[in-house]
Parts: sequence; C-alpha cells; structure tokens
Amino acid sequence: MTPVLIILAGLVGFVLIVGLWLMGAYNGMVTLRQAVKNAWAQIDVQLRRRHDLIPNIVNTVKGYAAHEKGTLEAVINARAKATSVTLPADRIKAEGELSSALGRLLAVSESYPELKANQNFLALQEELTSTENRVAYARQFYNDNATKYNTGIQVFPNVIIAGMFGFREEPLFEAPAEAKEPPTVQF
Amino acid sequence: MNFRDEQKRNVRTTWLLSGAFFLLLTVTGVLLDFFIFKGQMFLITPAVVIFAAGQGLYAYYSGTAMLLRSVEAVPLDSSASPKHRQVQNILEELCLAAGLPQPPLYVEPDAAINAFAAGRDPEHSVVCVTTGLIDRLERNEIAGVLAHELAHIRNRDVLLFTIMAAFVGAVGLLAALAFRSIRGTRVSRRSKNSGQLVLALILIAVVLWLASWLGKLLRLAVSRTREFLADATAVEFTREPDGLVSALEKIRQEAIETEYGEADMAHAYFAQPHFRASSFFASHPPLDERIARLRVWQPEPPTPAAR
Repeated sequence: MTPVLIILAGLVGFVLIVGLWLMGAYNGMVTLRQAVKNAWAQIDVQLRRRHDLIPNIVNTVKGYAAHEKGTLEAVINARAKATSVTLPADRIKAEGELSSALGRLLAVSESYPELKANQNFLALQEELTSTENRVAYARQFYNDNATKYNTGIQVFPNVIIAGMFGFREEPLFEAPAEAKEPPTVQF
Repeated sequence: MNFRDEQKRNVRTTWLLSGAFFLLLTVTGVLLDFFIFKGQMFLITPAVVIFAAGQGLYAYYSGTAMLLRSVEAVPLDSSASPKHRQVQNILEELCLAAGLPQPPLYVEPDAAINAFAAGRDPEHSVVCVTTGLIDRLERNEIAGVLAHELAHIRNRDVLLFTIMAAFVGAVGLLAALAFRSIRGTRVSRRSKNSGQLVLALILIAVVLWLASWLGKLLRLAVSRTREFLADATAVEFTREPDGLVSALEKIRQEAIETEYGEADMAHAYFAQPHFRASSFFASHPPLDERIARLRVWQPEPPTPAAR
C-alpha cells in the first residue's frame, strides 16, 4: 500500500471512530435528559393526587373540629393557590405552603379523640401519608435522574459537545425552608 | 451515600464469583474431555452447556403462576383491611422511588414474617408477602422489606440465579455423563495398566465430586452477595435503613419456621429463618451480619415528606 493510501485509510478510520463516539455520546445524553423530564412529570402526578385528596380531609375534620376554622381555611386557601399558580418557582413555594398547612391540620387533629377514632379519617390520614411519601419519592427519583444527567453532560469527553447541542444542567429539587421546620400548632 | 459503596462492592463480588463459576465449568469440561470422552473430544462439553442453557431458558420464561400456586398465594385485596390498603400504598410509593413498573402484589398464608419476588424482568415480576408480615410489621418496616424485594427485581437477580442454576446443572450433567462413561470402561483387563487405570478413574471421580460441591458453594456465595446488594439497594430507595433493620430484628427475635421451606425456594425468600451453624451452606447471610452492615449508614436528611 502506498503511503497516501495508508494515510487516507487512517483518516477515514479516525473520522468513523469519532462519528460513532459522537452518536453514542449524544444519544446517551438525550436518554438521560428524557429520564429527567419523565421524573419531573411524575412529581406533578403525585401533587395533583394530593390536591384531589384535600376536600375529603377538610370535610371530615370539619365534622368533628369545627372550631379549627383557621387551620381548615389555611389548608383550603393553600390548595387553591397551589392549583392556580403556574410558574415553577411559584408552584414549588405554593406546594411547600400546602405541605405546612396540612401538617398543622394533622397535628391539630391529634387533640380530637373522636376524630382520631373515625375510620374514615384514619383511612384518609393513611392516604395523605402515602401521598406525602409519593411526592417525596417522586422528588427523590427526579433528583437521582437529574444528578445522573448533570454528571453525564459534565464528564469528559461529553462535556466538549454538551454545550453545542444544548444540554444544560437541570436544577435539583431542594426542600423549601418551611418544610424543614416542624409545623407549629396555634390554639 | 455509603450504600452506593456497598452496592459497588457486592457487584464486584458477583463478577468474581461468576468468573470462578465459569472457570470451574471450563476446567471440569476440559479435564473430562481429555480423560473420559476421548473419542468425542470438544463435543460433549459444549453440548451439555447448550442443553443446560436450554433448561435455564425454559425456567426463565416459564412465568410465575406455577410458583405462586405452589405456595397458595392469592392476589392482595387492598379493600380487605386498612393494613392491606397500607401495604398496597407502600408498594406504589416505592415503585416511584425505584422507577420500576408496579408488580402485582400477592399474599401467602404463613404466620412467619417473610416475602419474595419472582419474575424474569421488571415488567413481568410479582411480589408476595406473608400474612405474618401484614399483621406484624409497622409501616417503615414493611417499606424496608418491600424495598428489598423491589431491589431484587431491579438487580435482575432472578436472571442471575437462573444462570447459576444452569451452570450447576451443567457441571452435574457432565459429572453424570463422565460416571457413566467410566462404568462403561472395561477394567477387567489383565494388564499392568489396570491398576493405574483404576487409580485414574478414582481420581477423576473425586475431582467430579469436588467440582459439584464447589459449584453448589459458589452458587450459595453468589446468593448471599446478592442479598447484601438487595439490602443496600433497598436503602437507596428508602434513604434510611431503620425500617429494614427493625424488620430484620423482628424476624430474628421470633424465628418461626416457615411452612414452605423447600431448598429451591429458600434463596428467593426475604430471610432464611432456619439458623444454620455454618454460613457456607446458607443462601442468605446471617441476620446479624445483615443488620450490622445496615446499621453503619445514617439516614440522609429527608426529602420533604411525612413518614
């Protein structure tokens, strides 16, 4: 083989290898990003489930603890706000407020033994606990996928092409400050 | 995030043990090909491997219905009691954490606290719990156990165990064929070589016996490693080990014999309630060691939720 042919063959081989790598890296990043989108949507599903549960809970508690108007209204208002705002930052804040309001309501319910013995209320309480867990796990799953994706676009050599194809870092879900404090009960 | 290091360690061990398995099969096959199957060299071992692989594939694809029937499991009815509803909820929550499709839940009538998962891949899996588990465990303990079972599903342990069984079957089949071949050899020749021949045959018989024992031990070692891995993966899902630790401690305290303790099923259960002196022969690691490994990890700061 003449030197020209060898060089040509080497060039073609090199371009092929780079092309294959490019394809693999790009597809990998797309897959990771889609997983993040899917996980984000899943959080929405669980938050909506929580919204749907609240009217039932409010009505059940109202039957036994009508005095707690303030706490009940806080929940109703927080739910209305959470279902109406649209900007992601606002939604996160609103959902956090709803979590706090619900926490206060459940804490208050502890002082009503008749309410605590009510089967309906207990079932609803379990559903609420489950829903809070689902929201938390959905956020955890989102964080896990977002971390994988963020890592995937920052490692070498993917980092070289990530920017030019529009792969940007996704934010992680942080606990809003209010959710970290235990709910205070006001009598 | 120390549970991730534990996961890496157990995956490494799995690879090492699988390599040892493969080596065992290869060495046994080659030795036998040279010394016993002289006329059919390099033909018998591949044929045996293919046959064992076929058996494995059949077992792998045969589904879970027969298995569930054999333990008299029925689908879980979430309206049967608040506790049943709770178990169903917990499984749904954990599937969100794991990103797995939700497997159908079954209940097995048994007073002991136990559970198992079965199925060839996440889309075709089932999870079964005992009535004892539903009655006696708290919410976070049930979460620990179910997370452990989902971990088995995600880690494809059923696939791995099927491959292991196929390997062990292949070694066993080779041994059986070799023994038949040995018996067929005429030793009654009155030549000075007959003594050596008998010795060689005895030696080979010993080697075969060792090989099949090694295969069984390796299989049990792999099973134990995957149990540790499932514990670590369960913590990855729940982000706190306390529920699982608490469930294991309850099981340790009570140690009621499981009704269905067939050796085949033993490895698939959550815990092995029979206490054995030597851990080599157990398909599950001792409960003490599982608890000790779990206790090392502190719960992470919680993602916002009520538990």
